[in-house]
Amino acid sequence: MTDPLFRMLTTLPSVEPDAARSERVRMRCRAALASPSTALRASRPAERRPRSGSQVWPLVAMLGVAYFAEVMRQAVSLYAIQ
Amino acid sequence: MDRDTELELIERLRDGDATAFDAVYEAFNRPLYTFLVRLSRHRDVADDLLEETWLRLVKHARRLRPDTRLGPWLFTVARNLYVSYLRSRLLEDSAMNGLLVLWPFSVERSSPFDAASASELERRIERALASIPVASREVLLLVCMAGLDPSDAADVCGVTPEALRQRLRRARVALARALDDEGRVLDPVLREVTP
Repeated sequence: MTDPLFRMLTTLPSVEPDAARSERVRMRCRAALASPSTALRASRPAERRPRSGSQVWPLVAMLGVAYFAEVMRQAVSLYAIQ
Repeated sequence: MDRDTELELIERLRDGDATAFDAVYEAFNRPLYTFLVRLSRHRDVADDLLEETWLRLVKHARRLRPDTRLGPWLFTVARNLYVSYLRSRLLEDSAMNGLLVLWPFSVERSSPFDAASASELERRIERALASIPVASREVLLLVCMAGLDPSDAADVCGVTPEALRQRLRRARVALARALDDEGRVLDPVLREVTP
């Protein structure tokens, strides 16, 4: 690299990552390498969350229907509609 | 890292050897982090992207081709993750120019004076580097700082070697201009305060 401008860039120091975090990442990767299926799950924690949410929706819908039915019943009795 | 060692490490990585991973991690963690910090200019972003880069390596370790070149492979993943990050956040590169923060570097200095002067020069270079467009900056970081061959850097950036040479020329011009602007701003101030 003969260009002085490019040589100047090489004088910039490298940046040190946080040691504690680096060690955590290294250990996590080592564990993942030993067990690829675990690695897949560990790197995709967000994919598992919607399941619990999807189980809640039918319950919410049922409660909504019950609430709406009760409101209608009250309205009918209030205005004495036969 | 010589090619024979690299090929051996890849073979062991394909077998799930954790000590091979340690060797690769030791060799590339700091260069990758330096690349990501200077590319993104945010330590927290670089931290996340670095972690994801290593997880990608682990995930693909058993499917690596025996002749894979680890440096270009890792820098390609890191760079693509940064591009994805930019797309998802729609970050405007120019909006962040004034927010460059210099980090504490672990470099030995021979004297306080040397430290101060080197620090000032480094600040100028860092600011100039941060002010040029990402496409120019990444080329300079890959070729001049990470030490990749221009042909490998072309692969990392997904362009032809000729296109990379053009980018490198443009990056040089942009950096020289940015350094010149830095000098114009700072030199009159320094002349006023120094005899």
